[in-house]
Amino acid sequence: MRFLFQGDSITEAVRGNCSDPRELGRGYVRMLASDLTCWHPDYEVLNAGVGGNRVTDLLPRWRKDCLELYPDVLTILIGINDVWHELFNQNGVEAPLFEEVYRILLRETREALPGTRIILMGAYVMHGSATNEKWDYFEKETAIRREITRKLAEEYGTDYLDLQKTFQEALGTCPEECWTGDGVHLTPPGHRLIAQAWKKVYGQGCV
Amino acid sequence: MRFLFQGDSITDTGRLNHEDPHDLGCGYVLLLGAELACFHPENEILNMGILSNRVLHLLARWKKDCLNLRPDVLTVLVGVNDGGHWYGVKPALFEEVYNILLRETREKLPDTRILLMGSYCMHGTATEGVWDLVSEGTAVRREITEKLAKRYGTDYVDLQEEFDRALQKLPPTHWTIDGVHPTPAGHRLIAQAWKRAYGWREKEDGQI
Repeated sequence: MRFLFQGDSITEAVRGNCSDPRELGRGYVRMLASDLTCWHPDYEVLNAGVGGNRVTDLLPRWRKDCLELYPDVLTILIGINDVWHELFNQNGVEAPLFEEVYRILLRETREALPGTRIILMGAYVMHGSATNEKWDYFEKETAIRREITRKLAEEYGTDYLDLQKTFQEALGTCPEECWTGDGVHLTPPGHRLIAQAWKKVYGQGCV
Repeated sequence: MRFLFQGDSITDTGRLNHEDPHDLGCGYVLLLGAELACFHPENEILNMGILSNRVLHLLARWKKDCLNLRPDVLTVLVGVNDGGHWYGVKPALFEEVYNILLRETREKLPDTRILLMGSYCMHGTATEGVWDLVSEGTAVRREITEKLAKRYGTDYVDLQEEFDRALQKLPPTHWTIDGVHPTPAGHRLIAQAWKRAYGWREKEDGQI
C-alpha cells in the first residue's frame, strides 16, 4: 500500500531533497509514516510536498510527482500560497483559476489512477506573524479556497478533511502559539493535530 | 512599447538570470531586441523564456512572468517539450491549458497584441530515432496553436513553414544544432518571420 502526500511547505516540512519522495520531512507526513508503517512493512509513505507551491505549481509536476508514483492513497493539501503569494509578490491564484486547475488535477488523477483513494484537506489559516496584518484578507480568501476544495471533493467523491475546523477546535483549548508561529506553518503539535485528523478520516488500518 | 517573449529554451537561449526579463539571451529575442530598440528608446524588450518549459509551466508562472509585466506585445512559442519531452503534455491538456493562458491574458490585458508562434522541429541529433513521435507531436500542437490563434484573434507565425522553406536551400545542420535549438542563422530566420508577422518595416528603424 503506497501513501502519497502532495502539497506545499506545510506538507514538505523541510525535506532535504525535494526530488526524493522518500524524504519525509519533519512534519505530519513523517508522523503518519511512523504510524502507518510501524506494523505494516508493506506500507510505503511518500512525501512530494514542495515549499511555495500553489495549485498551478502542482500541475507541471503532477505526472512525475503523482501519477507515475502510483499511490494507492493520495492526500492533497493546497491553497494557502494561492492566497498568500498575492500579498507577497502579486503572484497568487485567483479563486476561479484555483478551481479550474484543481479540477484538472483531480480529473487527470481519476483518469490515470481510477483505483486510487483520494483525501483532500481544506486549507486553514490562524493568527500569526505572517497573517495578522492582513487577517481579513487571509481569512476570507482561504475560506473561499477551502470551500472550493470541499466542493471538488464532493464532485469527485473523495474524502474531505476540514483542517480549519480541526484547528478551530484546538484553539478552544490552547492559543495560536501552540500550533503555529506565523499563522500557516506548524509547530510539532500542530503537525500532530493534522496527523490525528487525517487518521480519523482515513479510518481502518490505523492504531 | 513593451515587447515580451515567452516560451522554452528556444526563447531562453541561455539567459543567465531567469528572474531578470532584461536578460535577453543570445537567440532571436536578442536579435529582435537589438533591432526594435535600436532607434526607439521607448521600446522595451523582455525575455521570459525558460528552458524545458511545457505549457503547464507557463501557466504556473503566467501571472508573475507575463500578466504583471503588462506587455503591449506578447509573443509565445511553446509546444516542443509538450510533444517530444519525456513528461509530455497530451494534446487535449495542452489545448486546455494554452486556452487558459490566452483567456487570462485577454481578460487581464485586453489591449495587448498577441503573436503565437507554432512549434517546429527538424532532423537532428535530438529528433533522430524518435522522428515520427516528435514530428507528429509537434504538428498536433502546432495545429492547436493555430486554432487558438484564430479563436482569440491573435497573429500566428508558422515556424515549421519557415524552416521547411529554408530547408529547400540549406540542410538542417545549417539551421539547427540538434533538430530543435536553432543555430544563429536559425534564430535569424525566426526573427525575420516575426518581423513580417508583426509588420515591422526596416525603415522604421530610422536608418533606411
